[in-house]
Amino acid sequence: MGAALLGLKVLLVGFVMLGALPLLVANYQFLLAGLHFRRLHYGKCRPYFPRTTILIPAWNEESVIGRSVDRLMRLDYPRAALRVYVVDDASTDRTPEVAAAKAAEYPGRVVHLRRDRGGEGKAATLNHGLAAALADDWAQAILIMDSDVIYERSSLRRMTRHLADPGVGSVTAYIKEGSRPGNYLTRFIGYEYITAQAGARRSQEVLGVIACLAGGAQLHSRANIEAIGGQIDHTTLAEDTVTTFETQRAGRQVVFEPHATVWAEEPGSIVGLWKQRLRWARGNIQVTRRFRHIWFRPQPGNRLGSVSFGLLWFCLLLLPVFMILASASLITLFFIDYQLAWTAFHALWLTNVITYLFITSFTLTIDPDVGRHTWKEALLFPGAVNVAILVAALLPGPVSWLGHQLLAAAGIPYSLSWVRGVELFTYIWLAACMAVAFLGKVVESTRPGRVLGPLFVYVGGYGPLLCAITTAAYVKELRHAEVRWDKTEKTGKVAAPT
Amino acid sequence: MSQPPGEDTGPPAAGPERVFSAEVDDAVRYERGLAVKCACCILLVALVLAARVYFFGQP
Repeated sequence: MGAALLGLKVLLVGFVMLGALPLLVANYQFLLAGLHFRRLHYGKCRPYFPRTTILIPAWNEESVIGRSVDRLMRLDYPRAALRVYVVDDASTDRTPEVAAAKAAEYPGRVVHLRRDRGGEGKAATLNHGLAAALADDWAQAILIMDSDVIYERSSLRRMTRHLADPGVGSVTAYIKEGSRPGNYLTRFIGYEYITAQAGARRSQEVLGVIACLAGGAQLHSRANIEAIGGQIDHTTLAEDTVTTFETQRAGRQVVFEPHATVWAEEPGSIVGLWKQRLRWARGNIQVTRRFRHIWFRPQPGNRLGSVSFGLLWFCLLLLPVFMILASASLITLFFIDYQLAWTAFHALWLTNVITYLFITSFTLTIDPDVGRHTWKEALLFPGAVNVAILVAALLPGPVSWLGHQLLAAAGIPYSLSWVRGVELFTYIWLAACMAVAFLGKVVESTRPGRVLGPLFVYVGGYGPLLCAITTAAYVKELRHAEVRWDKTEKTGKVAAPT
Repeated sequence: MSQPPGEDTGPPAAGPERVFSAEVDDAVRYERGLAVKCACCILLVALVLAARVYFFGQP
């Protein structure tokens, strides 16, 4: 009995410590981002302006498509080397008229392609455009973008210069959230994009492998598109990730150009975010399954099978599992050995404190412009309650003193049961924060939802909200739920520098 | 890949080599600056942890 109990305790402590793994990996990732200067690709670049066909898949994009095309026509790029194909996916709004008007306004430079049967997803729409773009030998490079994305004038030429190296198959840019006026959610996304793009992609480049070309800014050499079959994968919800993996498996390098900036409109509501991210998370699960033979299996010609990349990939994908496991283990330990539970919790949260301080401070300095208007959301990214727990883990002395003072002021006698109650609450919160953030989505469409929705996200946390979405994606995949292309609504409120 | 002859696929007006060099220099400087920022953030974390151990650690 004693040995079994000891074994159980060791197992539970192990599960709690497993919760520290994604934190340690996140620190490793951002340390690598600081070393990005050692892996810059500029030595193999030169001014290079290949004839580039830009593909814009468009389904009911009347509010954004015209402006996006206009911005592309003002790119700092040779006019004769640029063609834009608006691939209209059987839109039912005024997209065909707008696209046709732009084709008339920029004859020979803008082409309106129309699919009669739509609704088959972005990949099918892109493949329609690719077939047209590859039909003759004009295009030397293909840029795939989204209809709402606004390119800064220098961004395309900053990307094409990497294609001067024939070993490069694809180049992606730094996508920033550009909704103006934004709201609390777009500020969270703005901050998230510094971590997920400006930070994470730099570190991936140091590792020699890129996880995903941004869907709104992926430039391919023609040779690369042809090498991966001349088509975009349409069997998963993460066609851009599949393209990225296939490019690297074919032995070509994928480059992240952080100084080529493009601006995108991201969801301003929790429901919209949920829809978009559920699609992404399900796509990532599908990609994980599809490439199951490459994980942690080093192979020649690419670094997809490296241990470092596998850790980065799975720690993100399995983050909610780690959180739930750590929480359940702490709760169980609390009832069989609360002192051990407290020690394990302390170790986990000190790791959390280090991670929070390092990543938040570094991320805000990676892109100070975005950081200036998202710093509050950066600080509250894990949620207000989790931040309070972080402060308690960092400053146990002052927080304990404050607790005593508050209890005394309220006339409540201090007792051990209070301490135990707070401990148990923090263990539960580790997983419950996801449920609270999820409540934000539930109440958002109700009358008090305008206040309660943001409140739940700030209290539960934006990070936990993303974990809740990943959990929902697992459930959908396990249930073999219908794979649907739920388009993210775009309203044309991106404000980008001129 | 190379440019096909006889097409107006020339570079932007600013002078491609000069613009290219200036942009690459800026980018390299920025990336080196990130390494310094990263080191500063690590130092910040170390200072905060030291303060915790020596001043705020005891409940």
